[in-house]
Order: sequence, then structure tokens, then C-alpha cells
Amino acid sequence: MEKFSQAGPPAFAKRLLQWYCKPELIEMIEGDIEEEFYNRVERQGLSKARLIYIMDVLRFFKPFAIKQFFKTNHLTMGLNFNYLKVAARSLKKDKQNLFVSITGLTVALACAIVIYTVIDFQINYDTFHINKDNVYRIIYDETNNPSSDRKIATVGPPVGPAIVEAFPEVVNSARLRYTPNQIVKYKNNQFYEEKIYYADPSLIEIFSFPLSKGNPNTALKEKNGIVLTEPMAIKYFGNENPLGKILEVGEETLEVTGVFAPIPKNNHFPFDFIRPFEAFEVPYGYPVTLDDWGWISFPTYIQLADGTDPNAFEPKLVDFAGTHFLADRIDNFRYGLQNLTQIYFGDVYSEHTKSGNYNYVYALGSVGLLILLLAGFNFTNITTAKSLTRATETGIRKTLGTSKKSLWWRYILEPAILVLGSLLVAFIISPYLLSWCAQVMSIDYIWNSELAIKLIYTFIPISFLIILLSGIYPAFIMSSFKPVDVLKGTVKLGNKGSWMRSVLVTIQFSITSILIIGSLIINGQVDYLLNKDLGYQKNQIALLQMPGETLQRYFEPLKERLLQIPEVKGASIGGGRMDGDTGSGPVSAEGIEEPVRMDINAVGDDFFKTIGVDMIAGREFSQTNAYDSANGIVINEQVAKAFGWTPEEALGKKIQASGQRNGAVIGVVSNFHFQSLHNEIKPLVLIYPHTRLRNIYLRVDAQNFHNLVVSVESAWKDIIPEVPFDFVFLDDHLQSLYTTDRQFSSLIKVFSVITIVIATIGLFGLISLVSQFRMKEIGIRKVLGASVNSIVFILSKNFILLILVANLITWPIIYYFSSSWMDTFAYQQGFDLSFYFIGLMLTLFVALLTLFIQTFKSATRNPINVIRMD
Amino acid sequence: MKGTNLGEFEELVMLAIGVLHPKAYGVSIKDELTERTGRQITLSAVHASLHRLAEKGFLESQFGESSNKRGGKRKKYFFITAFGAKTLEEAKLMREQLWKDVNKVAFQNN
Repeated sequence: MEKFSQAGPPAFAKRLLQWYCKPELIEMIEGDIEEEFYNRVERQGLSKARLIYIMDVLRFFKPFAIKQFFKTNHLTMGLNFNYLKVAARSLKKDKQNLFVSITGLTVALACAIVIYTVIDFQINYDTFHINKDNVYRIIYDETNNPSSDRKIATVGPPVGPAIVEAFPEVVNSARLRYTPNQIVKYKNNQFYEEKIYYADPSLIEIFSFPLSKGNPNTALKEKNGIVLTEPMAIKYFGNENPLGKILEVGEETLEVTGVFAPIPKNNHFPFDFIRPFEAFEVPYGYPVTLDDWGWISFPTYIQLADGTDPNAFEPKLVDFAGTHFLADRIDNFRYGLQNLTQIYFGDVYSEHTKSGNYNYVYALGSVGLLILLLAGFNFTNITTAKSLTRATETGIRKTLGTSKKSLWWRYILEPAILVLGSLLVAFIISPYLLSWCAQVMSIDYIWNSELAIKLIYTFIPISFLIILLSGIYPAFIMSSFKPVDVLKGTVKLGNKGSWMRSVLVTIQFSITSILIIGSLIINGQVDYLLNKDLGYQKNQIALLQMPGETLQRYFEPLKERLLQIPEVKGASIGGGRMDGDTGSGPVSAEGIEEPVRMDINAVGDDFFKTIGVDMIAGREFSQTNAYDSANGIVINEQVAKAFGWTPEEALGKKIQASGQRNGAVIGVVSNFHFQSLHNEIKPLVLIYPHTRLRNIYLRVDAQNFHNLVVSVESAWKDIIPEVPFDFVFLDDHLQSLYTTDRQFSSLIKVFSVITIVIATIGLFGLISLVSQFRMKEIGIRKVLGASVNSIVFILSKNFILLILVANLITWPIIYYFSSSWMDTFAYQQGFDLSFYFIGLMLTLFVALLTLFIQTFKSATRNPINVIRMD
Repeated sequence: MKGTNLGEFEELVMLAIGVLHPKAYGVSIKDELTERTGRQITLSAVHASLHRLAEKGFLESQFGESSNKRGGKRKKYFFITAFGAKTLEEAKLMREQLWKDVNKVAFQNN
């Protein structure tokens, strides 16, 4: 029964129907819609059916089905229809205010919807997998090892299968293996592809990646098979049926055995091609085998049986590891579990998976809330101020015998029309806004009926809250007026609610300055990251890539050709692209007891000369002799520091780097950033490449960009015409390391600008109302000889005071939050007071401009027109 | 609007009731019409029409059985009254008359 009610129609819509529908029709209508709903659940799925149920309920809101709400008292009923008429008239009369209220609210609601959608996408990573609660990634946790604090997202290749065998509560496991990019070719179509994985066939059982074509039972079991995603199928085969077609991947020819159905974008490991794990071979030059428990390079996922408690299971893995590792190694790490849905925001870094940052979700969420708050206050402010002009009307209604309750309706009706109208428009424009965000800032989101229902559930209550807030104050004040006082004119209107107005205006300006200053700080930090000195000359370096085997064979002739081009000043090869793509392993040195895990990378001849990093001591690899090639090791300053050496002392020290190299230090290179600036510079050990590298670094003169690219490409075509030409500037490549930072900083920037606009139009509306209240005062002042300037000053000074107070309140708040955000970066811009001042000046400037325009209008009005009305 | 006139959609609804007799209620009428006309027809449009037709006296209704799918709510079956049948008949006759008197040339243009 529980399950049945869960799959039922949305409760609020049902209640809405029961509320408005005529009692004599309700049974038939409710029954029919519900039957229709269950028919649709079978045909179109629950979420679509729910959406249509809601729309059906709204569609039945027609005269024949609506019950009579005010049938007891004919007088009030008459007035109620009259309310509608009066509300419509007053909206029509005050077009400026109508415009101000509606635009502000609509824009704010649309922004909030956009933000909600973006956040919803972020926090629902990997939730589309049916087994999500039972799937865990095995992590290699070194946090209890004193010389390392890393959690690694990969384990050795035998771990997954061994766990399934050892524990009955583990029903399945899947290993993945990332391959460096390869050329994929079908007839004339050939491209570099980065997202190629080897995977166990169980991948399809554990994760919800259904195949749209091909047999799921065999697709990943044929050794020379390959399964691709739908976009890839279209990229290579267009409209042809990809099944059975032959793809060349690297040097192998593979047969397409399946195509994945479209995969939701919120999947933490984006892939394009999957090959059977069976086909994976240990790369040339690696001193390991597939039975090696210490080769921690394989993302491994396990599926626990229903009802298994992961916390109880996790400790069992420690004993399990003990049976496969020697005692001295087992103290250095333990296996841990990480639930599938926690991977995206988790603290385990892994290179090829996407990862999110909760800080940005919070920041964006707060911006959304602030915008809504701002627009809500704006709206409340204007509605409240405006309602005071209705005192006479209220007085007359009261003398005619209207009840308090029905007067309350009177004051709630107008905001209700405006808010619901704004919400409707916001719903209509938000998809356009979202697709704009996707285009300009490449923000990811998913827009489907499930989301639409969530939006309805969230935003309808929010709008009712706004209606209530903006209606309740005037309703309360107005219905408690003594009609006699109002009609006699002894009630002073302008001062009513002025304290509340001051509070709201202060909060409003606080929000504005929070957003302005906050976005300045975020922007500053992102700019700082993009422009920081990285220790090498990033804007003069271009990158070329080619498959490892080809590079080994053709690098020397290619280099010779390239150096003949006047714009090319130097060429070398190196592992990775300064984006943290390095190997790592335990490094031991003479005189040091415990080996320390450090990053290890390989670079070719003259690498540092090419990228512009100085050697502090010793030499780098250059015209390398047999000794250097086999035994030479270059370290960065951090390694020397970690081992307690000065750079000069370090020279000649014996170092053993993982299993790969056993040699002595020939040079110490000054620190440079080989990872993104989220991380501090870590110790880095550099060896001469024996395995295959794929990246060529060129030191170039980028003045004449066109010449450069054309001549490099023609050199390339002469020597290796069969390999696609792929030329990028290192600078551009590095920008991609800060994609998330840039996306969120631009989102927040956009919304802050919008906030300023909303705040401004709010202020504009408010001031025009306030100056209306004080029209007589202004007239009298003028008659007594006050100048326009002094009147403008009198009208503005309160607001300016409020702005100053607001800034005083917000500065400490911003300081607190911004410094905690900055702590997530290893390299931070310094504290900059000028951001705060710019924020203050900007708010003041915008407010003053609005104030002067509005007050000047009132101050220059002819006093006779105002005063003679008495 | 009140009177004996039948709108196009109203006529379709009444005919559907005739087809489904004696099991014509909201959802079944809607499904029947959707299937036969291929139009997108909403439940509320059918109900609005039923309401109007009943008001004009062309239809009468009666509660039938309930089902789990309907959340325990009873179905309301609709039947054509004698007056309704007569109006329907008249509408048909009028059309046939019009068809008979149409100048055939009018359909031969282009």
C-alpha cells in the first residue's frame, strides 16, 4: 500500500482540485483524472504522468467546475467582484509600478529557476543508476601513512575479482582502465579520441548504461569488439548502422559490437568508447603484470548485495588486504569504499573523472536565495507603500460594512495576480535563459518533466510566501484603521510603515553589496589563477601530440625540420601537459629511511630550456649520454627540501624512483607549476623517457601566428602525413583546468549584474512612491523658497544613510565567507580592500543616479499643482 | 448559446456516447474521440462539453461502479435523452439536406 501511494498523483494538485471543484462534480472529475493518470503511468512513465495530472487539474479550472466561493453574503460577494475590477484598474493606472514590480519579480524568479536547475544537475550526479545505493568505488586510502595523505581512486587489477570471490555479499565488480588518447579511424573519418576505456563486461550490469544497439550479453565479451556512445556512432558512421563495422583504433582493427543508449550528462566518468577488459595489455616498458596488487591504476567498482551495510563491510577489506600484501606495506594504506553518488563531490581526486565543488553549489544557491529575497522585498516594499494610497477607499468600504476578512482579500488579490503572472512568465523564459547559459558558459543541465515537477513544488509555495508577505502588512494596517479617522483625513499616510521600509531597504542594499563585492572577489581570484606566474613561459609554448610509437620513431627528424622554422625557438618532449598528468610512486634516497610517494614524470632533451625554467644546480638532460639516460635524475626544489638537502648538496645523491629508475641526481630545477593552482607545488622527480611519451613542446614566437601554424603543419605533413595534426597553445590548454572556476565565476557575475538591476528598479519604484507621499511637503518647501538642490538632498539623505549602514553590516560577513572560500585554493590573491570600496561606490553611484532622476522630477514640479488640492 | 444548437465538438461527444453505450463516461469518451479523430483532446474539454449538453437536456447521467484505478471514485455514465436523440437526428437530416442541395460545380474548382 505504501508503494501504491508513493506512485500516486501529486498530492498538492489533488488538494487544489478538491478545493476549487464543485462538490457535485468532484467525484466524477477526480475519478476520471486519476484513471487517466494511471493509464499514462503505464504508457509514459510516472513523472510525465504526474506533470500531465497537474496540467489536467489546471485545465479543469473552468467556470462550469468552479464552486461558488462567496455565496453566503451577497454584499461581500458583490464587493469581491468589485475587488477584481479595482485591482485591475489600479494596475492599469500605475503602469510604471506595474512594470517595475513585474520585471523585477519575473527576472528574479527566472534566475532562481535557472540556478535551481543548475544545482539540481550538480547534486544529482550518478543518481540515474538503478543500483546507485549498492555500488561502491574501492579507494586506496593512505591517510594513516605518516609520509602521505592521499586517497587514490584506483586499485590494483586483481582486487575487484578477488573481492567478489572472497565475499558472498559482493555480487559483482567492474574494473576500468583509461587509455591515453588514440587515433580512431573509419574510412576518411579520423580523430584523436581521449575517452577510451577498457572495462569488464559487468560494467553494463552494475551501471545503468543500456545498449540501444547490440547484444548486452556479448558486446563486451569479444576481444576485438568495441562499444561506442551514440554521439560517437553518429560522428563516425552518420546514419549507417554501426553494428559490425570495422573501426581502426590506434594500430588495431576492432569491430563495433554495440552502441550505448544516450547517457545522462551527470555521469562522473565520461567515456566515448568501451573495449573489453580482456583486450587490455600491459603497455610497453611497464615493469608490472595484471596480477600485480601494487599497480594501483584501475578504477574498480563493486556492487554489494541488497541490505549489506557498507560500514560493517569496509573493515573486512583491511583483513582481506592483509592476505595479499606484506606486513610492512599493509600499514601504509587501507582499502575504503565510496558510494557511487558521493564520488562527484568526494575528496578522492582522480584525473579522468569529473568532480564538483560544493563551495560553488553553496555560493550559487545563496545567490539564488539572495536574488529571490531581494525581489521579494522589493515587491513587498512597493506593494506596502502603494496600499497606503488606498486608505480612503478602505474607509469607504468599511463604512459600507465590509468585514475584515474580506478586506484582507482585497489586499492580497493584487499582489497575487502580479506574483502568479510573473511566475508564469518566468517559467516560460527560463528554458531560453538556460540554453543561453549553456551556450555562453557551457553550463550543463538537464531539463525534463521530473525537474519541472520539482520546480512546481518549489516555486509555487515560494510565490505564495511572497504574496502573503506583501499582502499581510497592508491588510493588517488597513483593516485596523478607524474609518472615521481615514475619512476625516487625520491619518498621516507617509509615515505609516516607514520603519519597515527602512529595514527592508537596508537589507536590500546589504544583499546588493554582498553580491557585488562577492563577485568582484571571485572574479579577482579566477583572474589571478589564470594570470599567475607559473614558473615557466606559458604563452610562448605550443603543444603537438602524436601516438607514442610514432613519436619515438619520428621525433628526431621532425625536430630537425621544426627548428628550421624561424618562429620555432626550441623543441622537446615531455609527459603530460602541465595539467597534473604525471605518474607517481615511492621514491627512496640515500640517507633517508622511509620511501616517500612523489610525482614522477619523464622529459626529453633540453626540456627546461624549451619551456623557460632555470636550473638551480647541476644540468638538465641535454644531448643525453648513455649514463644520463639510464641513471640521470632531475629533481625540483621541493624534492631537495623534502629530503633536507640544499640544491648543491643534492647533486650526486643516489635516488631510487619507484621501480623505474635507480640513479643519481644530476640537476635541480627551480619550482614550476606542473599541476593546476588548486594544488601547491609538490616534489617532482624527473627521469629520461624510456616509455613512450606523446607530447611535443615547442618554444615559439607567437607574433606571427598564421605563419607559425602553417609552417609547423607543413613540416608535420612532410614527415608524418598519416597522423592528424593537433596544435594547441599551452596557455589555452591550461585554461581548461579552471573550467569549473570560470563557469561559476561567470554565472555569479551574471546574476550579480541582474541583482544590481533588480535593486535599482526597486529603488526607482520606491523613491517615486515616497516622493509622491511627500508631494505637499515639497510644494510647501518650494513656496517657502527652498532650492531644487536642497529638496533633492532632503529626499535622498535617508537612502544614502541606509546604504552606508548596509555596507557596514555586510563587510565583515563578506570577509568571513570569502576567506573561507579562498582557503580552497593553494594560491590566493591577497586581501584587497579596493574590492569593498568599489562595491560601495557602485551601489552608491547607482542609487544616487536613480535618486536624483526621481527626486529631481518631484522637486521641479510646480508647487501650485500640488498645494491647491487641499 | 442555450437552445437546441449543436456545436461540432458537442456532436462528436454525443455520437461517441452513442457508440460506447451503455459504458460512456469521461475517460472512455475521451479515448474514443482521440482514437477516431486523431486530435489532441483533453479531459477537461470533454467534461465541459458534457456539462453543457446535460444543461441543454440532451444527456442524462447516472453513477456506476468504482475501481481501484480511480482512487475508489465512481464512474459517471452518460446516456442520450430522447430530446438529445431527436436533436442529433435533426442535425444529421439538416446536413444531408444541405449535401443534397449543394451545387456540384462548387466542388470542382481547381
